[in-house]
Amino acid sequence: MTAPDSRPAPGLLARALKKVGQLTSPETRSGKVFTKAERGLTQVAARLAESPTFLRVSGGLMRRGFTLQIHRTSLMEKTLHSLRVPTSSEVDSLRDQLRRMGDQVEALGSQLEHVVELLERQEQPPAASAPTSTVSPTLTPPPEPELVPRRRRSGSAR
Amino acid sequence: MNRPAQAFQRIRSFVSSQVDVSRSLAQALQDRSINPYPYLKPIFEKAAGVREPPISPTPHSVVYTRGSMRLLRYASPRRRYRTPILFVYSLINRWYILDFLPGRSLIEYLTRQGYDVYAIDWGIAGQEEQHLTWSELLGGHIRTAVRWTQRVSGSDDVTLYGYCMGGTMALAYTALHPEGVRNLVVQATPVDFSKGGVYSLWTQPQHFDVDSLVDAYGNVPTYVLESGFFMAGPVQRITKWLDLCRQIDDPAFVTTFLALERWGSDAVPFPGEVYRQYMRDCYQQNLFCQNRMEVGGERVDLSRIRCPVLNIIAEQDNIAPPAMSEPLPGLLGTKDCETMHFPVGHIGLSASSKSPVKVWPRIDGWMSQRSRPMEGGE
Repeated sequence: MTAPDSRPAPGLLARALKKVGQLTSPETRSGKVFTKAERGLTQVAARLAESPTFLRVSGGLMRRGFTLQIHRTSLMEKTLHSLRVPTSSEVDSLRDQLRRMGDQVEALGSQLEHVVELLERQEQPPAASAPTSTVSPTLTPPPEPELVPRRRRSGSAR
Repeated sequence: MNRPAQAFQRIRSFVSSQVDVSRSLAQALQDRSINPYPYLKPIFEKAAGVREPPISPTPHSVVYTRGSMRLLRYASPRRRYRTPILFVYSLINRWYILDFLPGRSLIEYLTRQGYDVYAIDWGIAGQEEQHLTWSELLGGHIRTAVRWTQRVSGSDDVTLYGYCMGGTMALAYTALHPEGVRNLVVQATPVDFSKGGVYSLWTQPQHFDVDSLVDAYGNVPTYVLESGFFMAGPVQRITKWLDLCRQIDDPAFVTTFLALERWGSDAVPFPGEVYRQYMRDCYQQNLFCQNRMEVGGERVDLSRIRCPVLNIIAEQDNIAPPAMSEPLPGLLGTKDCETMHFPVGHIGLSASSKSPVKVWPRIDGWMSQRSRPMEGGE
């Protein structure tokens, strides 16, 4: 599960983080104070999150923020267009299209393999074919799992 | 290697690791993420000497794409069931929590039990998805995914498995297109949206103007979604990292923690029009559990669902609290509906260390009784 790093064993940073952890651990005196403060802050945050005034104010601010954002984006895109420079949304869109094309090519590969398998099965003599009783009439028997390439996509999160 | 060369190698390695950390921090600052993960990840990785595990480690292939959506197939090493499982994940985060880490992956577990597993990865919504509607989502994307699953697996029906908002979509889909759905499993699924705790409160129309948000951005940006989750527990979002400090010398713990945080910080833009209807009809008017939500001019009537349904509830869920999912059996048209409660949180159902022993075997038991076996005991 874990992939140990080949870099030299970290010392100072790990020790410093461990110390921070110890100081805030509920078993130490400072940690008890910290836990109390944390509990207090949680209560304040919970109360704030349900306060009608907070909700009204934050809702209003959000609305204003969204409107400002529209104006800002529109102004920036107009300026960039006048300078004949691609806008960030255009670059994003292009990148998006490329990524989707890559996915489509991979899917087409899988689909093609599936079709080839179906054709191969059709070419086999009927006696050798697998029973099709539980498969809908429009479907040909499925490929065996091991026939399907088990590909690992390293960048599948995109 | 002689001494000066060793010393040079060590200095080089030290400098290069510092550069890596600085570069990661600079990138996080540039992205202006409100999630602490991108800022803290390089520091903890360096301190613990671990690296990011791969995303969705179970071998898979892309079967079909449509816009940003991909249909992924996780073939079973030894298939026992003809009926495949199709996962419908939420539009908020990414599907790969279902295939979290080796040994802690629901998808890996199910493939080992003999299921042919498929999962919809909604991808990253772009300009094309801004005007996507519920009707296109259910009748287009999910319907085609069901058909491709049937086609590739060679089965005329599927077990539809919805998670979180994906469960709501799976319920709506089955109510509108019941053909081909043999079993329906819904996990941590909101049904009664008036019981959603702070999320129900925050999304009320007097506090939250969904129209201005969608009109401003097209798709809902990730930082808006992230800020909602952050506000639900701002203190714990920070202080849980202190627990990681205490366990910094346990590489397995650090890897699991960082992998979970990576997934949590990997929110994707929410398709605008789908979000608008979801907020209005579900959170603001609670039409879904009243069978009054309309998709493509047709009413989503849950009583039309007549296939076996498994309703999985996480007792410590604060995103879809149990009260949101509990009314489901009373709304369905089937008598074969079982509800299972597990003492875990929303994510724990899919990524907890208890899941492979306490949660998944029970889900598998339910599905195995209702799935068609392979002919000839393959």
